[in-house]
Amino acid sequence: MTTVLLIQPRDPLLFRDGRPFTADPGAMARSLDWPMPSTVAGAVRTLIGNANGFAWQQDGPHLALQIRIRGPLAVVEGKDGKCRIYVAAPADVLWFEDGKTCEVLRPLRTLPEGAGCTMPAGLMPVSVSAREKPYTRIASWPMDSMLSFLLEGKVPDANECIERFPREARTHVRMNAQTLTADPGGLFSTESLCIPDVTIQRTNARRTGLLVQIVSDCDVPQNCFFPLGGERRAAIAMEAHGQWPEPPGEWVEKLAKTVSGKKRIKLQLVTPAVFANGWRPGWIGDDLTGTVPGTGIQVKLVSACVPRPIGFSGWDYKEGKPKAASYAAPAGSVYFFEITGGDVDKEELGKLFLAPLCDESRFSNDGFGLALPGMWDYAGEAQ
Amino acid sequence: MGNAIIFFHALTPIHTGTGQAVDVIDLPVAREKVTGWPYIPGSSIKGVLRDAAEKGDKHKRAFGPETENAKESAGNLLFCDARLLCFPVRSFSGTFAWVTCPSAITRLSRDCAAAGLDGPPPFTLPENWEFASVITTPQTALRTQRQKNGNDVRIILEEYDLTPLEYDLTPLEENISKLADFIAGKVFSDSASREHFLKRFALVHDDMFSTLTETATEVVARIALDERKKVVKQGALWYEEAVPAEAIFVSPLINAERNPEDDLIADYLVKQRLSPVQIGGNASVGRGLVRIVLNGSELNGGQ
Repeated sequence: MTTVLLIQPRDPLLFRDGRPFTADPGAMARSLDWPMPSTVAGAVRTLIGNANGFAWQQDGPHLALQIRIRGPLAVVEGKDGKCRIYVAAPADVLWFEDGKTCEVLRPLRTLPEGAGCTMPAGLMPVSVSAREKPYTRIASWPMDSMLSFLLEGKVPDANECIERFPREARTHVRMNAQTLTADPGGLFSTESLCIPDVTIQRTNARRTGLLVQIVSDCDVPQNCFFPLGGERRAAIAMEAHGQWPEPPGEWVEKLAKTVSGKKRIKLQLVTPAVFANGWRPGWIGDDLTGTVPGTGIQVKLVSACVPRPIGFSGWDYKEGKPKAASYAAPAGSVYFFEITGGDVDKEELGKLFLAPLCDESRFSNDGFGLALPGMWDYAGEAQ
Repeated sequence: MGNAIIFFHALTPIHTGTGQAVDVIDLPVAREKVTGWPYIPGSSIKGVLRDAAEKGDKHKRAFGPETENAKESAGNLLFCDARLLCFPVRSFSGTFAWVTCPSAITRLSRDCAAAGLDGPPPFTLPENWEFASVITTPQTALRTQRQKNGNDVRIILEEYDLTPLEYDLTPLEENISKLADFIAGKVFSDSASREHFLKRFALVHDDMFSTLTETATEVVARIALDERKKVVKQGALWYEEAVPAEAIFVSPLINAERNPEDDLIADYLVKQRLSPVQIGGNASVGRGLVRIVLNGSELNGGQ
């Protein structure tokens, strides 16, 4: 049974990054820009488990791991009151300092004479023509604009995009009950992510929720509070009035035509992915060739735009200890492939729409590595 | 009882500070990043109630163990930030008004629904709703007549001249009355206070609410005197901001206990004489005295 849940943050939420945080004076817990899929998956599984009476000391953790989660994607309320799905901005579009103009980064076919680069052997860098400072605050694009970009290379207007959410730092003091003064050494700060729960014109805030797809036979509670992220801050599980995005028929058809014609495909992550080889998917061998999971499309990796890795960990309920720290390729990473074999028809491409590309099912089941397919051109070839 | 909604009614101005600021106001109040409205952090509420509540096993289950043993278990009560619901502002007529706005009401509705409790009655905004609009209850004390013939009825809040929408008894006003009744019923236990509230209740535009919460907080200049000379100490002048007395905040209280032997909120918290409490800074100069009303009963042992 598949359920789509809308998670509405109630308070500023703390999604800790990998930096250590202790009760030492001056310590600061910092938040990521968007929760890791495993954080949301863990909170949702606990919510479902509690509602369905899972015995956490016995087989509860095992049952919880049967629940497959995809997401989270962002759902944002527009000025007209309608909600749109947003996905992570692609790393192959570089916005400039004015926050309005941008350049699409395309792989070079050959390096200019006498030039070299530090890319791993066999991979080509992407071309950057402008010498401007990049603008890095644009965090996500509307899904429909993303689909036209993946099909036609058309970049949306910056006004349509969402910037990174503000963070709020709070300084906490521990009061001494006897003296009614602040306890020395009890001073620490937390920095939380402020995901708006209302649309306010004056501060330009737009109500945003987290959309997740849940595959489970258990009842999924709705309209209730549950803790999400650090400090046991609250979010609300709500009924999602929209559906989990499906590939539009016409779009898949057109894309299949373009991709099979050009013999090139790119895959873009919309949630972070954990791969066996760090940034490089495990299904791509050392010779840079492989078969895209779930399809028969054989590919050769030509280039990739992968921002800095995200270090993350978590709490292992089953073992009762912290999970081993891992690195994830961030959402927005783009992998450029040439197609070397296999049919690329609309059925195959449809299967890739928001499909998890991770090497291990435990990460895929948490919602890591969801991707969208698209077409690409070499630098200088763009229409 | 499960979950609860806590209403906080400020008896004196509240200063939940953020430390020092490089601005005109040296010690501002904490504000939400998203809306810019003042709030009371959940950690302040938890800390105050934790300190005031009766110690023992239930205390540990409700609030969690002392910091040294924090790893044992987490507290079962989840305290959220208390968000501004009604903000008192000066009114040309009726002395002062309790203003709120559609977004604050939407948040209250969402909190109530998620806590499994009845929320405020729904209402629809009229089409001509804009920045200078205001809706009051039929018995409002806020109206002021600008012309002698009584045709031009205005509501003047702080320096803003607002247009009351439909001041005859219309479905719109009836709905607003139900909304005001709902809040009054939650916050005040006696009919005189409820009537006092209904007469001063006003619904304004979200952006007007933002403007008022930004410009109409209480800002006081404070000085420190040189004990010997009785003149101001060098450099000892500072400006402090506070949310005025009569402000109403609201927050859910979530009971996350999985196997409740008894209800931590109903059987433990409500039975204690905790209200009023002091929240935020500057306790010794009278700041932060707050009445706490939990699901309609004040936390004062039913008195």
